[in-house]
Amino acid sequence: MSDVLIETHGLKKYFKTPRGLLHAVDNVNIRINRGQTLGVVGESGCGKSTLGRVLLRLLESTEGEILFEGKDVVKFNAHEMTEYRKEAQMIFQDPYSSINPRMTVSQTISEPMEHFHTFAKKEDREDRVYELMETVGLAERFVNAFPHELDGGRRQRIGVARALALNPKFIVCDEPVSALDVSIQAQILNLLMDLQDDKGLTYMFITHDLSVVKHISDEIAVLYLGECVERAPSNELFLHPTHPYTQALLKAIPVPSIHHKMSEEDIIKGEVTSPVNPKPGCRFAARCPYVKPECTTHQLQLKEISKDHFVACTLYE
Amino acid sequence: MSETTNKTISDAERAARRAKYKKKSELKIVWRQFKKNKLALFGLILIAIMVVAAFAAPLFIDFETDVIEQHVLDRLQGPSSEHLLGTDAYGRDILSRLLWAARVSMFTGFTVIAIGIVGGMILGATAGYLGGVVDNLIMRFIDIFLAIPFTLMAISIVATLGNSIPNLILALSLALIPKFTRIIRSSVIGLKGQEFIEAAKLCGASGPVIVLKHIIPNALGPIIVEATLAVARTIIDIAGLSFIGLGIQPPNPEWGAMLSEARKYMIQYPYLIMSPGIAIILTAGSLTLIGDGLRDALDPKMRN
Amino acid sequence: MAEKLLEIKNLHVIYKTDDATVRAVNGLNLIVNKGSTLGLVGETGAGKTTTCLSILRLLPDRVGEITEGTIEYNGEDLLKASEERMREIRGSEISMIFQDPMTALNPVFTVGDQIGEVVKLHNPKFTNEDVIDRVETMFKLVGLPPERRVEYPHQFSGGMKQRIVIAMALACEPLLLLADEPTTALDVTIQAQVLRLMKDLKQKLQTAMILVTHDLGVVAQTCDEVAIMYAGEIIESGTLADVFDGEKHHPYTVGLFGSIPDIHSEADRLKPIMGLMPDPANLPEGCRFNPRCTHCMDICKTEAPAVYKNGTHEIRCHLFANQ
Repeated sequence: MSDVLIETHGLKKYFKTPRGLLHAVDNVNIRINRGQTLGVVGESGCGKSTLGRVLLRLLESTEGEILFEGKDVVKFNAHEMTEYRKEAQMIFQDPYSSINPRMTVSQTISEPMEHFHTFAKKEDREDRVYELMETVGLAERFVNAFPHELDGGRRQRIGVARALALNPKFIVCDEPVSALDVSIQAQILNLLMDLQDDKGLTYMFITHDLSVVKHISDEIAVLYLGECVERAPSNELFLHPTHPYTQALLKAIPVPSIHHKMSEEDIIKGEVTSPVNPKPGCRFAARCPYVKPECTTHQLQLKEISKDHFVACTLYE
Repeated sequence: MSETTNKTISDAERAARRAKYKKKSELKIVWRQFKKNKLALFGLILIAIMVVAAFAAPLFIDFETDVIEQHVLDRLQGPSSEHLLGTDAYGRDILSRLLWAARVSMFTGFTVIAIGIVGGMILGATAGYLGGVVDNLIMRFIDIFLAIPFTLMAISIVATLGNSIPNLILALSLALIPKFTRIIRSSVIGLKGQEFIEAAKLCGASGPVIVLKHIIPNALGPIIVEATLAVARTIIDIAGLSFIGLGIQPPNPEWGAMLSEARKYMIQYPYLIMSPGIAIILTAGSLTLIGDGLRDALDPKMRN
Repeated sequence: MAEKLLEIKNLHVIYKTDDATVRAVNGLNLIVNKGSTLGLVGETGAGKTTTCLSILRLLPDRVGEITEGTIEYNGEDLLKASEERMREIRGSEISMIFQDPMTALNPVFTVGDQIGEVVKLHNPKFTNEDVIDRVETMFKLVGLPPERRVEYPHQFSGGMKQRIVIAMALACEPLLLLADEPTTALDVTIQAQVLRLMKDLKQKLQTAMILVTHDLGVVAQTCDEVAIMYAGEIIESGTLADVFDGEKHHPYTVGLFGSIPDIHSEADRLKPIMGLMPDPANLPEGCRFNPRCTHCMDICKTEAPAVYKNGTHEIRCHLFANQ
């Protein structure tokens, strides 16, 4: 059995808008090994959430391959999709809108089991719900509670329990802690890491928060306007951030220490350009402090600059 | 393929667990919330009284003698012990006619609403969820109906198909379905973008299941309110149609028709016009209060 | 020596609902000095937004009530001021920025009109030209092209909208700015820009600021003083150095710092604070933090702790009773 659980080749997702073609995900190649976590980082408009959804076929890709255990998900028929759904799940960002407000905790968690006819007996499903609640740290007494009775942290635990219900191999975590308080974030992150150790889960962890991603990821991919600009093992990325955008991103994080003050030059200028009908060349060119004429002429590819560390930048061609 | 869990737990333990964490009845919660709104409660009691009275009417009112038969000698009498609300221009007991008319109005009203909701849900949910060409087709079709003035449509239907209660129901339903379709469609579109719908897809729910299980229960709020208001409006519409001679045909009593008959005697015998008028106001008013109360009670976020 | 601009003493605020009384602020004491930035740190439900709304007396009408305390601003008790006086103060002497820039602007008016409205309200003698002048000045101040004042909010990005909101808040050069999580909804690179902007403006205009946030990083980069809030009261306060580098801290503060994933550390698991914020309708006896505190002693469960001072550094905790 290969180490690689899921990988993509030339994955693209474009949306047709009145103003033109929106390049949400553009030629992204990723590879995640079993039991590992790929952190996907970027700011608004980088396409990370779209990427997660395309991997699970919540959105249909425009072009490219998605290989799950070697088989192309894009070509799956209905039966294969059903099996895929049992193996690949998602934890959503907003604990307030990702759970049906009219369903109890128990109903939410058992929904996947009902649709996929696993745990056919009602008693088994019931037992499984309690088991899952215990696994994610939700007290028994909430089994028939409604979401609005619970706070954000507990609601997110419901989402985690739901994602685990079918014993998936792969979970896309779409900013699962962004909407939570700092102390609750820490609890949920610890939970996700414990679950990964226990069950050998593979994660794609999507976030805009670099400090969170370092903690949980083995490898990190940095996205900007739909393209992957840098990819490296977690520690390596923070030790040697190479792409100018990655550097800017790291410098922009306000450090909770009075000995590391942000200076003027740490702050990059300008705003993200539009992903609609993007101009050729590097999409970060407009804001890059090291921009050269070559940057806007040809498409950039990810080049390996050291072991497992890839960058797409004219400075390293 | 079924799986079993790792834990083995006895049936007795399971039963004990179920009893311990009983699910709160959704109905009880809604009722408790509804009760807090005193005005809504008042409306409910009022409507309940009217419905019971209308239902029970045949028990103490004889259709032929009290409602239809004319007693010219007794005409236009004020309220008395024998005729609590007086008599009309043909000597008929107003109270009896009022109660009998209530039966027709309410039956017709609720039937129209029921058809309206079902029709509106099917069209609105389909248009909203599927979007694109289907949405366009359905909504343009709806627009045609919305463009026709209600009275005109009612007149056309009645003129071609004849004057009867089923045709009345048809006319009113055709006027109502477009309005409900719009409301439901817009709720559905709003809900479609919520993350829990995506989660449902990942759980294996297909389109129809998502609409039935996830979208419609959450879209209930605006519909319930509209429905109760629509009953009120329908009753007024029926009265309006009868007023111009299109709805319920005499000698069958109907509030609107009674209003029409009372016009001539408005100055000399005001009680003649007051009775059906107040009946309409009370019915429509209490239904509106109930509608408001229900919407608040159904919204899970408004609790606590 | 720092000069006091605003002093809140023993503020108590409640929200009355059908079912319960929510005690949002319980005996809050706070001092903001002229020209200084105070970081008000706490998690959801700590009462930070309620505090800001109380200063401007903008609590929701029938539901929110200030039951006790004084808010002294330049010698005046704001809680005793007339509504007319408050209207004079709002926008011109004390301004507020709310959290979500997406919803803070009215979508049917141009941004120039919205800033102009504030200017006109507090400067009734200004002519239209004067107002436009001021609006354009503000635009340049926040780094936006002045020609864009005729555009509508939806034509701007999130970061730009927040700049506009800042421009609106500073248009009349207030003495005090209340900024409620002004950058939480923004991307981190845009956040850096906006925080830098706020710092510059603070220096230029000498505006004091209460910066409400849950992000200790933001506090470290922009604030002069810090107050940490829990369950409606300040449990630790002091200068930036006191709270970030001082030796002694309130256990909650320690917990907060421990929860933050630090990109410079190698720790495997985070050390979150156990449990949840207490239900403000049902606060614990004694020290409000006691159910979650790793150093909880018997006295903590029964008696509310007093404030222990060490120069500018204040901690509300029984652990430091004899110091």
